[in-house]
Amino acid sequence: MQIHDTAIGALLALLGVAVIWHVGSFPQVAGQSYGPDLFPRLTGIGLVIFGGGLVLRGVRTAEGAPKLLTMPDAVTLRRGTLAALYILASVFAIVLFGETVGIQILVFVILLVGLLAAFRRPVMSLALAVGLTVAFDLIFRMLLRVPVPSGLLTGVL
Amino acid sequence: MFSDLISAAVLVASPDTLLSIVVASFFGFVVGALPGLTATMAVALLIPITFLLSPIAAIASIVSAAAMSIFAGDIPGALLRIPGTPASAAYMTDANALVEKGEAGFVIGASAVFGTIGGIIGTVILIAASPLLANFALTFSSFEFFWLGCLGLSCAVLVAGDDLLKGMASLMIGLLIACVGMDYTTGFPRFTFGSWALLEGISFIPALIGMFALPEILRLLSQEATVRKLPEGAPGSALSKIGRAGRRYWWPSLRGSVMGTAIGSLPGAGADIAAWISVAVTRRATREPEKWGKGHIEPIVAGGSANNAALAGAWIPALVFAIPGDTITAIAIGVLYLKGVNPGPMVFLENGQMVYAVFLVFFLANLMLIPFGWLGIRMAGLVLRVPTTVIAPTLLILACLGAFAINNDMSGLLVMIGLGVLAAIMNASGLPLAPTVLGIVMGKIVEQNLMQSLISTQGDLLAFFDRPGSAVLGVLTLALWGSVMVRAVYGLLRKSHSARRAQS
Repeated sequence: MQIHDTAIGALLALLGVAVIWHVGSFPQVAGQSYGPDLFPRLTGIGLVIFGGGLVLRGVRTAEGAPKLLTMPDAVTLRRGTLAALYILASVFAIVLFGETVGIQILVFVILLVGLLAAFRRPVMSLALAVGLTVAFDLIFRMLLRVPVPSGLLTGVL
Repeated sequence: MFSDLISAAVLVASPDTLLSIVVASFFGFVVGALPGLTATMAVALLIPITFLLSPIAAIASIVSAAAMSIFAGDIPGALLRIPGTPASAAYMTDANALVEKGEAGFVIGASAVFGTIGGIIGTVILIAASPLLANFALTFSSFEFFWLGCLGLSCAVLVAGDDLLKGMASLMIGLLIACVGMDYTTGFPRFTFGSWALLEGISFIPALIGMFALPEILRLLSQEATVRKLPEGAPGSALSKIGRAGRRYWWPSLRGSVMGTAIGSLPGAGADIAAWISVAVTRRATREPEKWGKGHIEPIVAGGSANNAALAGAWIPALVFAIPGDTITAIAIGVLYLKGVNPGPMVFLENGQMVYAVFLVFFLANLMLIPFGWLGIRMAGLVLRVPTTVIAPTLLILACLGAFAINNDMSGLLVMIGLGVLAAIMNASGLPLAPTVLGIVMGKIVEQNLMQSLISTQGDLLAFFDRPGSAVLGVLTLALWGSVMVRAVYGLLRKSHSARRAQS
């Protein structure tokens, strides 16, 4: 996937405008000429300038209406979307259900799904997922003493 | 000084430090040898694991993993023509051509040996230069540090790529991210959207894991799994050939090491740029131009020395001014702060043993390249045969657990995924990541020094040029900005002029 300079520039310039507008509500310190809004305001101005620059350059080089988003072919797009969904779903599953279900179970499921999808060899994938889950648990929970929530397995482990 | 050196040696010789050097080297070897995974990613993923170690062991792991992954990146470059890290791309053509002639052992061995030489020369320069610079920097006040920060950030943009607009836009994103959290002067919460987790600012390590690991994992998962075919032929003994190359090409190696260290010390320029420039300079100076591109060892000597030397060079500004020389030292500075060690000129006075220990670790980590080079010749095939589709889910879990382990809560994962999405968008738009990373690390430092200076002078901007040091640095910074602007305007004028001529 490719995002055109015009599109990303416009987004950044908009972000800059939003930042400048938002820092206007920051409190001023009595007796001082500059407050907590100075640095973000400068950054916002920078975003407007350089985002705007990207828009101008993008429009100029495109000759006509620029193609804001270039999509890859259907197969690559499908694979990429699935991969992105897998990553997002895995991370949010840990955030939302890590405490209740437990990290170990989630890690095992995430690994198994990922391996099955890519590897397509069930027995091998299952063995690898179990082995890796145990290894991660040993390293993080036992060796490094990271208090990973065990959820359903709290009493068992 | 001598007592500091002894206590540093005791720190480095402790079992946990030595063990972490070996384990981190192995990890760096595997990540570096996997095509496309960078040294920065190896370091970012390693941090949470080193989190509970002593400060020295943690730094030792960072240094070892970085040095090893830069070397190991040469292996897939040579065997498969896919660079393991961007730093290996500069001399990949020749490395691969040599492998096709049946010289795999020679290439991998030479890249280990010359990587070691580059790393050691870089370390010697680091040891010589940083105390001198630190002595000088002791006189600096917030004014000088503000200008130095601006110079560092400008440099990061200028060397990150030839597209100034994109570099600046990327820097602004980083600076904006650095603004999140409680304001330095008043404690006012900025851009926290009511979340307590963001009051302390964006957690740095999860942010870097997100920016460097998640886009790579996405790329690995989106690829079709392919079985790689490795070139046939036993590596054989290569020692005598490496010795001969060392005698013949000692000058490209030395020049590459010195140049690599110098380039590495510039903020934003890392091992990859060092290797490209060293190879380009050597190519211009070579006496055997006809051999280049057909399997010649000279570019491997020059580039391999330069990229490992750059790693040491990047530590010079990091230790002396707390300004990272590359993305790896950006992470290292974050880790040092977390461990209660504040880099900057004072660290040389207050924590001399720490500084010496870092120097010793550099020597050890670079010497480790030799046994791992031998291992590389024998094990390369094993690592390269592991399908990337198996690696990707494993790296994803490592990233998630690492982001969790920093603060032991789920907010790290949210930071990671947020910045991962940002990095994916930036990659798709061709915005370089390095200026953003340096902006995140240095934004707070630059802002603090700016506000401190403004408050102490009641907002008088001319006071930024009052002290001799700050006047020099200020004029230098403004001159740099001025020259860049003049060049940009000149380029625009020339372009529109030629367009007009083309129309008429």
